[in-house]
Amino acid sequence: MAARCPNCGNLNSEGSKFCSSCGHGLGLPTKGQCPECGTLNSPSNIFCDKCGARLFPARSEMDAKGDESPVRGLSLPSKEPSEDDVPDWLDQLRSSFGEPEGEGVSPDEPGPAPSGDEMPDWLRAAGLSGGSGAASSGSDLDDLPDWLPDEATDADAPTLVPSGDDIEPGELPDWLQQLRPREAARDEGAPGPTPSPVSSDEAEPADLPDWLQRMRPQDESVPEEVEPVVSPPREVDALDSTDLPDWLRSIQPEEEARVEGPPVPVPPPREVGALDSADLPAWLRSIEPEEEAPDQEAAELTPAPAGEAAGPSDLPDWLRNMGPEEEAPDQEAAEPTPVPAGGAAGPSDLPDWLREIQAPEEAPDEEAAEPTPVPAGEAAGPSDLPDWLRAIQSKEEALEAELAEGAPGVLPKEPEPSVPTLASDELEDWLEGMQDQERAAPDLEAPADEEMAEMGELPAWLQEFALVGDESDMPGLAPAAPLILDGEGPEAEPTPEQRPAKAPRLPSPAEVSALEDWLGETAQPVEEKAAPTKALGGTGPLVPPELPEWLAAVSESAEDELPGWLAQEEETDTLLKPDTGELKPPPVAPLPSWLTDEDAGVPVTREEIAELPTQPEAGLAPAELPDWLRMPPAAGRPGTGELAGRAAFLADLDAIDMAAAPAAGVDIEAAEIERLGLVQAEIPDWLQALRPQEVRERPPPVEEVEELEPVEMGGFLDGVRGALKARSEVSIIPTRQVLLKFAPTEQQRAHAQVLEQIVHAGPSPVPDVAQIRRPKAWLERLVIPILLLAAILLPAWMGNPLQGFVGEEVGSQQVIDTYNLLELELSSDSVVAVVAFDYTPAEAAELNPVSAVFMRHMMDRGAKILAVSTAPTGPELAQGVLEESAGDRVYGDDYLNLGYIPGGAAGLQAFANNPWSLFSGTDYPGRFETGRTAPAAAGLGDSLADVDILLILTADRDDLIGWVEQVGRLEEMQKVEIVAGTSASLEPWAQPYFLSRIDGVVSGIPGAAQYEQRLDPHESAQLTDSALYLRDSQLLGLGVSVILITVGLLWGIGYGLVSRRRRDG
Amino acid sequence: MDETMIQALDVALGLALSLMVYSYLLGDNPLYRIAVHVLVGVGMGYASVVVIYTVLIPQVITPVEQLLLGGTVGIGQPVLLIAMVLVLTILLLLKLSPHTAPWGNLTMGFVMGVGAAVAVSGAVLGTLLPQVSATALSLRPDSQVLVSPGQDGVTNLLAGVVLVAGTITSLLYFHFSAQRMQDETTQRPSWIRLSAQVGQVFLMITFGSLFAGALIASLSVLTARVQFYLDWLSQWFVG
Repeated sequence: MAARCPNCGNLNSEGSKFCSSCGHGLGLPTKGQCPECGTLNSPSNIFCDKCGARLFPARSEMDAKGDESPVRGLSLPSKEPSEDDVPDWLDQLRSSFGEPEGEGVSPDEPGPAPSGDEMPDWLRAAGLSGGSGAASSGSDLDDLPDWLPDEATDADAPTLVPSGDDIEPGELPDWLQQLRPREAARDEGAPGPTPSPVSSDEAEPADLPDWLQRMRPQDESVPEEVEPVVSPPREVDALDSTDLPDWLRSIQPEEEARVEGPPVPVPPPREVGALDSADLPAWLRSIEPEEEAPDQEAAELTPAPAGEAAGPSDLPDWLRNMGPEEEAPDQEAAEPTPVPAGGAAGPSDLPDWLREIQAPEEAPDEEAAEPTPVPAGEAAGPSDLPDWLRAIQSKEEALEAELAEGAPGVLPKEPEPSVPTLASDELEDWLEGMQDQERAAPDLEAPADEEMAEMGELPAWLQEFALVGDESDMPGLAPAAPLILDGEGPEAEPTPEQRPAKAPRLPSPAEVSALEDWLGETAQPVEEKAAPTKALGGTGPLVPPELPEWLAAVSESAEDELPGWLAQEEETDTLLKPDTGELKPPPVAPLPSWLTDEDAGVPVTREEIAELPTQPEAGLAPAELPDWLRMPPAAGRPGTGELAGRAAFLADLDAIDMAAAPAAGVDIEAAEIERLGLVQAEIPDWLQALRPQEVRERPPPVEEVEELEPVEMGGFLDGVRGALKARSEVSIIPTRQVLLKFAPTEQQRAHAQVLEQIVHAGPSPVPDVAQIRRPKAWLERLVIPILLLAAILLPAWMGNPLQGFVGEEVGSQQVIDTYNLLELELSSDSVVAVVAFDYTPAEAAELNPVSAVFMRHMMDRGAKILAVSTAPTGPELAQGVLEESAGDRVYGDDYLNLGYIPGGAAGLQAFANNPWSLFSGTDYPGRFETGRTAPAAAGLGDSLADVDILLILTADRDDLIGWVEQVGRLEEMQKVEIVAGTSASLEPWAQPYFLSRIDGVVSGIPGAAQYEQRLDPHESAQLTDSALYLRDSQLLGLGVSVILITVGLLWGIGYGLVSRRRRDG
Repeated sequence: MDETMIQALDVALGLALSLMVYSYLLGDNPLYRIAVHVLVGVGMGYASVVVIYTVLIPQVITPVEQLLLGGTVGIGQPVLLIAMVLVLTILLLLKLSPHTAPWGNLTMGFVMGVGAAVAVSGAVLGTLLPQVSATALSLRPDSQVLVSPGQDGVTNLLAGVVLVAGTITSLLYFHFSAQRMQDETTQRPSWIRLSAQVGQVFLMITFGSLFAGALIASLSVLTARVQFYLDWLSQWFVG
């Protein structure tokens, strides 16, 4: 893949480390290495290109690893969790609630259904108890959620939820054990658990956003206990806008507009309730008559009718009819939620333990006005409370006082909508009407307070949602159906000992971390909390214009897909109270006491929620949010409060005194990590790299990662630290698969074997060549010259020793012919001969004797000699030879030295064509003003062809060939006798021209000696400097040389044979 | 200083330089280098003087001087030719400076062009054609090419055949074109290989002759030098 330069944007070739344009470093290539085969994959790959292995741990694997190092917020909300992906804590939860570990309660497997005694009224009223389940058809069973078919098919079966007796006290954490006595102490009047509105269970999965799809099974199974701390709108924020339904997108901006304050969850059902009736599914509209008959239980069990914030035109009839019902002081119908407990559920509908809790809240206002979850001195004293909890407590006290002024006996725990504080023009018309009605006709049971009246406008489950979120958004607590099914009706009031057991058991560390996450999200700004309040009151802009697609899809097939228990409700109308015709109280799936108990620290009222620590980011689902995402990334958002809130909450949970931690400056985050046994590596690197810049710059959590992971230097991840496990390609050792297969041939194998042998043989002993050659050098440089000198000097002392072995005439016929030729030519008168002395002083020792015999012969015969030379030193040598050979001959009259012929071949050609063109000046000795004026030059005209003999004396091949080619080839020169006197080494080069263009050749001292013998044998023999004398010395020296060469040759052959024999063995 | 002393000094200096050159038998030494440098330096200096006095002065300076003085330039030396020679000479002198050296290329081009043309024409007409002709004529029994005293026609014919065979086979030895055989080897045709082997024998004989000639030439120089000094010494001591 070509890499684009981050500096200049130039597109570089693949593998480039530096930009070809600007030289900027392109950074280390980021690739993901397959853990199986080591192949480097693109960072976008999830699975290996080569082997298909997963490059990153699956969520299930991460969850499994969470046992060792609990991971908080691992995955993005992109995958619908399967059974395998269910984390341990969820399996534990399921198992603790009677569900087999790792698998839900299958509708095909009739699980234990709650008995009629154990079933709450609302369930029995819904036909799930007794033999009503028999009415459910098989198709209905398929449509039911996992946790429902058991009840729908076999309501008589024992409950799935283990009773509290099944849990050993030792298994309970301290905080639960501490809460249990308090729950037992607060017997009466405890608000019942919020029923779960089966809102989105019937939605088509394909139409659901990812987070909803992922939460859908949880929705089916999660009871209502954990509602208060869930904030679905924050999850909505985390989603892609394209995945969000419109009604959620309409919420999102408002959510973002909030700045400070604890988060207030906005459960989706409430938004659904604001839909137009036309958008409602048919099965929901079918319930409308039941809603019109104020059966609150039916309204709570179905999410669709929950919307009451829509305008009158948008509301279905049954919802519009709820307005007048609100006017009628039917508090049971208007306030079915157990939280307000002000008559929402009749005492007979509530389990005893709930009534026990409710009663004390109803009785004393002071006690009821205490919304703070501070356990009344049993678990933790006020001094042990964190600041934020004390703040909640003080606010609750203020609310109590405020309520006491208006209507004594108002339940302080009831969610307090902010409608009264809103201007009337901010309200929808129908809500204004409702508000007026509410103000005009205060409830008898509920306080006459306006707020409570407004709350009475809403179904109880909606009021519950006004305060708490959908538990489906609580990833840490996603218990299955048993939590709902274990809700014990009034007939099966749990004992105080049973109540904590019915609540979710103490979460595991992973669960606690997850709880921490979603609870931490409750630390939203105050403004965030106000928004759902407005929606609840109908004064806010939260009027979703349309149903989400999944709900619309459900509405189309609602009739057919209606769960059996709902269908049965329609038939038997058991959801209605027989006495009042109103909806029965919602199913009181009991909240865990630690959540429902205000003393336990769970914020219930809006003020409480408002006092919760802020939640900085509402991005991802809580379980998928890492710590850094839950941290306040933006400036101005006090992260300390959020941390303090969560820390205090956790401290309250574990009875760890961390309330004073923020004030003491303790690193609560580190304390949390340490307490939960978490390690910093809980966040995978790839997720760590996605942290915002400002968060990444925070030293504590990132420090270790920064040390380990390098910063990306290029690409899309430029500046991101440790995005992936990057490494330099240089350090990557290619695997064997990458290497080319090399199949050597036999010859290559043989070569390799030879090389191996050579390498392993090592150096062989080499004889010291210098030692051996030293005597040879001595012989060559001293002995041989001495021998040659002795041979040369021998004739001088002893005469010619070879005289007896050779004849009088030693030489070749060629010399004889040359002599005869010249003798014939010189026999005539006025012979003019041009002699070219083309040799250097270095060659004079050999050629001077040759020149001398020719000069004596021609001078003896009276020929005129004109000396020239193509060598600069030639005229001087010529002058010496001429003077030595002249005898009584006179210079200028008999011979003349014209001098040097410049120009090489061109000069020769010019000399041949016009000799005097080159010698227009004086002669070489300068004795004549012009050479042509000399008497000796009288026979030379304007052409060289005028001469009779051309004698070439040279030891150089080029000179000889130059004369032959440039002069001898001339047609006019055919009549001129051309004779060559050469050195012995030049004779082979002169032979090809012999008798073709050269008429005679005399070479070397032997030739000169032979010629001299022909010229004057007797006279020449008397001369010591004659060629004949030199010939004898040369022959002796040549003989010695031949002997030495022969000996050397034989010695070499013998040495080679001996060496071979030694080498062979 | 009389002539005898000058001659004696000349002989002594020549003897010293000769011994210095022969000292190379003991290895490279400064004496040998000095002698070689002296030889080369003196030879070049002498050549320069010769060129100046035998070429430049009579061929350039004297004609220009005569022309400037209003006299005749010389026989067969037109003024234009003198001017061209003078200009080419001046341009050639510009070769002494790197900055003006390109101007001398004209002269160098002229000299090299003329020299190449003359050499090629002389080689073809003076060497190639005469050699081929002489080789062909050597096969004739009545050829006078290889006529030697005391040799009959058969011997001359045999000599001619040897000459032609040696020439052809020596030329075929340098024929390196080959063809790929079936066994993936490349080799020359068999008849060329055979002829090449015969030509190789002729070449070896020729190279041996050249080596023998070189050896004889060297011995001739040595002998001449030794004989010179012996003669001088004999005259010096014997009188």
